[in-house]
Amino acid sequence: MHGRKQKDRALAEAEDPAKKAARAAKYAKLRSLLHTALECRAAHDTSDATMTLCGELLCINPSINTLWNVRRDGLLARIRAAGEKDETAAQALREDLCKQELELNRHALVKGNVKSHEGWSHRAWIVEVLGEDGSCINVDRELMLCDQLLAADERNFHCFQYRRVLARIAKHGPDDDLRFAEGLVERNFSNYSAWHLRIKALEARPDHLRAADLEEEFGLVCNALFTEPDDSSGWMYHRWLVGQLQPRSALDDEVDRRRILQDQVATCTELNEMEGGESKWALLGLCRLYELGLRHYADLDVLPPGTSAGSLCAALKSCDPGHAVYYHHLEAKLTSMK
Amino acid sequence: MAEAAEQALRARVGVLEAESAARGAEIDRLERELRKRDGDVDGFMREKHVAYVLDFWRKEKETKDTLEMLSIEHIRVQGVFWAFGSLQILSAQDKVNTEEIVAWALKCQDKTSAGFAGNVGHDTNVINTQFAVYVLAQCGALDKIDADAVAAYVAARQQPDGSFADEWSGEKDTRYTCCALFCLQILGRLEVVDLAGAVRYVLSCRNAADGGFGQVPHAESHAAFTYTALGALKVAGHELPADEADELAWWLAERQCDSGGLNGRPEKQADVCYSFWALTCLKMLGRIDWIDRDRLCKFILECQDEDAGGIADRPGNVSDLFHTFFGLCGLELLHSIATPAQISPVLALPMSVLPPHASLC
Repeated sequence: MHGRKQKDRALAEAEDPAKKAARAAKYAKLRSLLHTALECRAAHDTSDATMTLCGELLCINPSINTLWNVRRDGLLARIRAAGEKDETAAQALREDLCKQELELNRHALVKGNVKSHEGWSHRAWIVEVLGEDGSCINVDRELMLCDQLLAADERNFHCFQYRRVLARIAKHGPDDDLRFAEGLVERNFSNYSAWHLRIKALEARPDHLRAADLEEEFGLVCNALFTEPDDSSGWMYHRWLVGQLQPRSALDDEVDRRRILQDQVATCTELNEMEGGESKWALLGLCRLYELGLRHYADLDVLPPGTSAGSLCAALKSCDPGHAVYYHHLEAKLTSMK
Repeated sequence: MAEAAEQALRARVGVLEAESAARGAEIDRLERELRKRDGDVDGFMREKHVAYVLDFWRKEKETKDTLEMLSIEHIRVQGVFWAFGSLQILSAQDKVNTEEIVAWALKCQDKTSAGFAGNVGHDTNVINTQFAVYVLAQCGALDKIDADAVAAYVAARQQPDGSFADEWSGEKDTRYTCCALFCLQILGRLEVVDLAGAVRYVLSCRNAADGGFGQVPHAESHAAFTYTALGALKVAGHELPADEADELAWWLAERQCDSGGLNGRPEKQADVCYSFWALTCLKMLGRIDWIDRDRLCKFILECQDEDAGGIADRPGNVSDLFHTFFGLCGLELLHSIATPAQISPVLALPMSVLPPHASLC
């Protein structure tokens, strides 16, 4: 029941009695149809009429899992029955049913509720179980549907999860995910779901985290940070990247890592100054860089002259007083590390 | 030598943490005492909320259908949990007939598998089984079910990777794991499952980048799934290492928006339900003061539906049972309302209804 406005309720209450009665009749009808569908479930009835009824109800509320269960049983029963007569025909039927079920499910998600757990888990079931792990499915078409739905809501985590199923079947590698994430970030810097995807792809490619790669990543995200210094999405990515600056003996690029660390201190300092010394995220970035320095580059003076854990945390407390207790904790931690 | 010094340091940290936890518990107790003396925070519409929640049963009796009633028909057991739980927080649970609730809840049980459905005639799953067990616990009727049989149903849902799944769709995620373990915790039957496997699965949903947990491995961190993950870990007796707990607590504290409310993910709007999920995670981590409690309290109060009673997802919206319950839980955790029903931050049930073996923090 997310997002219903009180003023809409007031409007509905002011409606004429005929409209109200029509709505009440619609609800009563829906309740009675649901009751019928459940009776069919109890009787293990998966006839065409029952399948249609469940499909119609699911297009109104795709979260009623029992109705998807009716359809799952009905679809598998049809393929089983066909297989007893003719294997080739059964395979053709399977492909057909997959197509139809994907279409019905798309309709249920788009018209009913595009954030329905049960609706999305049924879609994954169509691909993985009914479609025999994607072999009976047009995976490219499904990937395109994800693009469309993510264009409408770029944070829909159900869609990202479904897309991950497809990517596995399509044997996408981390590079495909990197490209996909880059496209999303270019469209909108403030999409943490895309930055998250990028982190996961890079974590799967540790060889992509050489100093030169990190420099490139910092370049990408700093572009976002200078555009929107208050947006936490890019800063979360920046925070993760800073963590990647720790020395990696196998890569033999510590000198470059130290340089990048200091470049980032300069960048965060500049961003903070641009915001009058009150940029919460740039200050947090400096704290993170300082912490990394203390942990891994103890000989390095990370912070600019005149700056200390105390001064950074004091500035943070002043521009973000709601998190004062955390900043107190952070200051104590940084001071004890020194 | 270095090793001995490190051990001494760790021991010292352990002692200090125990002291700080004891102090936290004492502050908790004193704040509750003070709140009982002072009464509810100004602006809290207690009577309206009681009337709104009681309407749930009245509308059913009068078969007055609403969109809300229809949309939760298939998960009525969750609706009853939210409604009855709200009344327990509001000290008005004696206004409903628990015998009727218990009789109905028992009808949701599948006699073969011993699992529960969300309503009579629907299919079972672990999630609704947990909520049915919760409703029976709320009503003091856990003796009406065969705990071994229900525990066996839950155990049969565990997968080789340690997760728990829906028996029809095969869907598995941190919610199923959390519901399975919470259910077993109430039933006192945790030993029937592979707890180490469950913990392994939950930890595979953790994101090292922000310390939060996603619904499934590789998924983006989300405050609601973080609650299911952290709750499951608590029940399984697994504590996060101190640095991971700190990172997670910071990420959770960052969920507080300019409005004072908490959101579920970066750059999303605040929503009252996270006033329980994110807040209670901070509580479990002993870091509830990492957010501005007064501003969160103000946000929840602003989400009250002045006309109908109840609490909505955000200001100006229509209330529903789900947000009413989680809003009230949030106010209880903040010690903003006077209530004898202390809510378990892990299990979201009043401490008073938990069997002795099930009480957690």
